[in-house]
Amino acid sequence: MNDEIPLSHDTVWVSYHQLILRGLEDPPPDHPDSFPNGLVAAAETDGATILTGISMGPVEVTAELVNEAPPPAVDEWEEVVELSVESTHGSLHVFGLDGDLTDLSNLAWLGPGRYRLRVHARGRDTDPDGTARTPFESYLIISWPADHSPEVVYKRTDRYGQMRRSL
Amino acid sequence: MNVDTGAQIGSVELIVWDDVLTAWSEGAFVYGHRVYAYNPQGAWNPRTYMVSTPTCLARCVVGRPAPDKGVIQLNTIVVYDTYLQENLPVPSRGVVSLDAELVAVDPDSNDQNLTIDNPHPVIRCDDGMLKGHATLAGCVMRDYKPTLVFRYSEMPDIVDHVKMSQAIGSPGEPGTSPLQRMYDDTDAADNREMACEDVTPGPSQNCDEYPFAHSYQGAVTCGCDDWTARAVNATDNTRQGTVMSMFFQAYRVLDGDAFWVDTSSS
Repeated sequence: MNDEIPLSHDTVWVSYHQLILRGLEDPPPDHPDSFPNGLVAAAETDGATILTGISMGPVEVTAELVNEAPPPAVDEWEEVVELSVESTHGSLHVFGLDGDLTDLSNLAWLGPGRYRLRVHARGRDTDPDGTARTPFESYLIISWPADHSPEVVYKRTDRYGQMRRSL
Repeated sequence: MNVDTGAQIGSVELIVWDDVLTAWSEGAFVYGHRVYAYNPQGAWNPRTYMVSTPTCLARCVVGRPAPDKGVIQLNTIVVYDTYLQENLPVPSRGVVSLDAELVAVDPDSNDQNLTIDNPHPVIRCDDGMLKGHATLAGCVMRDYKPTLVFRYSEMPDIVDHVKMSQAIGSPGEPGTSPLQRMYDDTDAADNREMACEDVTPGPSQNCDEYPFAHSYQGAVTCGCDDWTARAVNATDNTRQGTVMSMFFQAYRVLDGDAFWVDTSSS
């Protein structure tokens, strides 16, 4: 029986433009060589890196745990990318790069295995490379169990993502 | 030693190494002696044995003691390892206090035992004090200042900036005055905001400040002018953050801990 909260929300302090997903007791994932989709890159196992527009400060993050892929809902978002991750020990949590553990649910909520993550972002163009004091960027990460499949880009419309895709 | 006449009848020479093994994610550490016996002279007693008895005086307990009465073997390294476990309250940090000595005993002699009491490094343990890792304990050598290495091949813009900044007086270069990690996010935001106030990054660039915003030597928290900021490649900047985060974890750098920043590697 899993006791993770299906819908959790928290404010996460980011630094160096990064939200990271990692195991509770793991190091951060290696820095990807590039971010071809401009938003998120998965590590080989047990991690992923999500790029934020601000360099430092708080962002709003929601984690949603579902049993199967929901229909894409992209209207409220500027960037939406779906990709596969593998959790070898059933722990995949959201952190700021230098930050403390949040109240967000464990995205590897059914234990070790493969998951599909749909990552949504909005507000990255508000103050790119800025230092925020109050949150104005929002992220939604939906997680469900699924075998590995190719990345899907549902939406890419912000300038920050366009810049990262060009590097 | 002859117990009747007091004359020396034999000897053996010893080399003793002490070592301490810690790990960033383990609240336990190993205190060890390596004993190498060589150059036997006369009728030295091969029943001579050694006893290693590290004792925790504060903030730790002996998890697994060293083997009892390890008999000296010629030209062989004999290992005496003791596993110790910190027992600090959670969360807290502190120096563990040890009394570690190695005693050589000749069971057939009335000689006073030889006690080897080498100095050992100060070991600092903590439980739950590493930012982002509230569930882990770990131990480090308190007086060792680790070095964060930025390689030119990985992030040229960052290396150029840090090198320039250190050259004109910013701290952190090995052998000068170190940086100290700072946990406080609000103070870090103050540091970055002030440092980057007059920097306008171009397309594909970020503002990079040195010393780092999350260090007490940052632009505001240092109360000084020894800092710089410039526009750097955006990928170099985010990679810098990842390298730094891994470094802080691998060396268990806590709030206030000192470290160096080295840019001399290619």
